Amino acid sequence: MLRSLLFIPGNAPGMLLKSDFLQADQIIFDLEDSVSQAEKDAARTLVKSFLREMPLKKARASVRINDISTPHWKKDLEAVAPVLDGVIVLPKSERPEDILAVEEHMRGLCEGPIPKIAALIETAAGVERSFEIANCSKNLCALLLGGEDLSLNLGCRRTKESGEISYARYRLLNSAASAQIPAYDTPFTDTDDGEGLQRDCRCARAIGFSGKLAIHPSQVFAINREFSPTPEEIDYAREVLEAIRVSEAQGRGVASLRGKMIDAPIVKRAQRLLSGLDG
Amino acid sequence: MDMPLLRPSQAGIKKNDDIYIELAPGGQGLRIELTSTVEPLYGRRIRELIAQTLRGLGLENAAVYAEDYGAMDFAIRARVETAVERAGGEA
Repeated sequence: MLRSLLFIPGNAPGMLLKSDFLQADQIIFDLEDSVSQAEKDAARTLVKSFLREMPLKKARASVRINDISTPHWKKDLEAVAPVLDGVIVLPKSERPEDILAVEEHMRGLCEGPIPKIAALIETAAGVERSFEIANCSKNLCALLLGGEDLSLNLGCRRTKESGEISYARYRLLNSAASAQIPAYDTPFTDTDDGEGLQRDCRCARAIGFSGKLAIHPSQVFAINREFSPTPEEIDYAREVLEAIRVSEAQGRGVASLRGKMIDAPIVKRAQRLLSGLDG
Repeated sequence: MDMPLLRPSQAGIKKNDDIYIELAPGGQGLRIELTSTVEPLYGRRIRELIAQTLRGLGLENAAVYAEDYGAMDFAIRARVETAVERAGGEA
């Protein structure tokens, strides 16, 4: 189950070393915003060396490269793609061509299968083309929402209530669902506001996000908790499947539970919830 | 094969878990000056790792100044590689 995706600055050896012990489901080693222009070369070499010599054992690995309008993205891929057992995160993904360009460049670098790609959508154009992006490649494994850059692009104030990115959230969810891939919500940037983070997680989970990006290790625990099924949800899912099993054993076409008919979507939702517990 | 360095270069940060490297062209062989918070235990190992990384990149002659703050092998190799790249060598 992938719930928390934690950014770790790519040019900080100490942070790289700690990354696997922070309880995050996925680490995103960052070569973009957290790395100054003068240190781009050093960061990509450091992340390459780390991935090659100290592969993560607990968390899944991913690397956020620089976006394709920069002179850095190809060098980033050349450094990390051959040693990455994980996912490339492409920031400012705006068009299917962006994803395909990354995919094409990686094919020339990797002997075996190329890493999957997650599209970080953080511009108005990206939001509008998210359906085409989500469905452009079988290597595209997730959509991520970046609310800070998006609100900058929209020219609006970023608020904790996130009303300004509601449209983007729903649009991304719809696009991701159309491609049967998960969507992950934008980070909550006030690292001192635990209640705000909890509210934001609940809102995101309620509308269909599978998890959330994190910008500080202190956010991981809350994100994991809020995006995990509750014991009540797990019990209910098990009861649903048991009710169906009994109903089928008795040759009945339909089942009911707690006074409600159990139909196919309820069964599928229960199966999905329980299967997520295994991964 | 001896890859020449074209200019002096630096890489790394003077912070915990990192190593700061200065590279300068010239000299006969590899001359490595190291200060380290773990010098008594790992000084020899760090010097060997720096030399090994430089030779792996084709460098036989260079002056190296290194300030180590407890860097692991992956960080030492990466910082040396970056310094070589910045010096105009091939990394």
